[in-house]
Amino acid sequence: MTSADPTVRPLESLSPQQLLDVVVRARAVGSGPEWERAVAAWKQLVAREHPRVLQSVKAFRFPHQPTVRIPPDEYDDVAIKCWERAVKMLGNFRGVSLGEFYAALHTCVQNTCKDHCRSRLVHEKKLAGSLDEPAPGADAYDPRGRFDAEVAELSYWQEPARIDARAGLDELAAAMERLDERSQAVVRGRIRGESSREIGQKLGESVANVDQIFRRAMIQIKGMMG
Amino acid sequence: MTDAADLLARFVDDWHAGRRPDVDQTLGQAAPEQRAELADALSAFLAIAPTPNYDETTLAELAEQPAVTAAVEAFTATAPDTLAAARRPWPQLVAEWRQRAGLSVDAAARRVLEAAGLHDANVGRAAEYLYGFESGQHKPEQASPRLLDVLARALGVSRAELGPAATAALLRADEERRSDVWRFEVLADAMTTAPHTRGDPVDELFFG
Repeated sequence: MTSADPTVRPLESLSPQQLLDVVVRARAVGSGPEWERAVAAWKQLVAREHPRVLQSVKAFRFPHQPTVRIPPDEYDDVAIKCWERAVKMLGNFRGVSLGEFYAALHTCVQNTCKDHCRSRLVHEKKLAGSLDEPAPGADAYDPRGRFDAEVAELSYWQEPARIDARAGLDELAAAMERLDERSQAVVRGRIRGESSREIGQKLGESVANVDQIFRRAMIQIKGMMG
Repeated sequence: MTDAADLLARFVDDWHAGRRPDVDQTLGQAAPEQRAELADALSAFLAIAPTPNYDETTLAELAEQPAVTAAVEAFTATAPDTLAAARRPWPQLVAEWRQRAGLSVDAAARRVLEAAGLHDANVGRAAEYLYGFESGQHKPEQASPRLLDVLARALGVSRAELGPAATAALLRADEERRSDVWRFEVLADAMTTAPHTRGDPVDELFFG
């Protein structure tokens, strides 16, 4: 018989939320069996979430510069950096919900990828084109470089402890609220794991329409999340 | 080329089924002009998608990924005890570990050499080097990776304690390296420190 108490159940049987609870609870302990269990829980959690991080690194495109992305041979290195950043974030992690964790992880990936691209661009200035090229819309007298706005933001991102998981989730909730009702229903259904056909039957839409609504909603959410 | 909405839908279905869909493969099937927008849609989905239920084989495979190992090491290094240790200077840590083991510098040096399998090596030289690390004359980045292992065994320090502490010391040294002050120190050290004899087993143990 398996106990319902997540503090004694085998870690393999715990949900991601329960694993996160074990990690967050033991964060201040630092030694002993509870800490060791937290380390093992963290390993389980990272293993389950690693596909999310790795695929997010692959999907990353620099804001307003979609051709600037992580080179394939650097995916693994950047994913490691993302996790290292996530660990630092965890030290300041006030949230305990999985949604907050996902949102914070997304922020970690985006910021790590931006930093990585930025440092690569600086390194390969000649290959990537001059960073001193004028910003879009800037005239010859405008001293702003095309990445200056992003660089200004990077100085904020340098401080991982300031990542606010709650803010990430609030941002997502706000983005969802801005979708029309039909889009919200499609997004909720698809996130719950319902098929496009099932959602289409409920809403009286074709499968192709459901897929289009979902695609547009994701692009809209991405635009609002950054 | 497949329609972007269709590709996104397939990615979502595969994700929920735990089939670990690949972003690059998905984007590769889209028309070039649709790829950036599809990448954004995939990124948004990945930010909110629930974690799939992976089977045991997949989970075991994922747990072996270098990124997972790195994340666990980084997490271990955040243990409050380890952080408190890591905040102390490297020389103080080395001295503390030796004193905790109840050993004089000479006795510790002898034990370090035994742990390294160097039974006939020069104990005096090893004691001098060990004292060099305790006094701050030798910086943590000068220690060979093997020395950390041997120190851990000889002084009864767990790798979990020694590794992160040494890493933290190295990171601090790396930060200091960026400053001009560090450069002047290095120059001064280089001018005043006698070069270690190459090929000496004690030198190799301590400095690699």
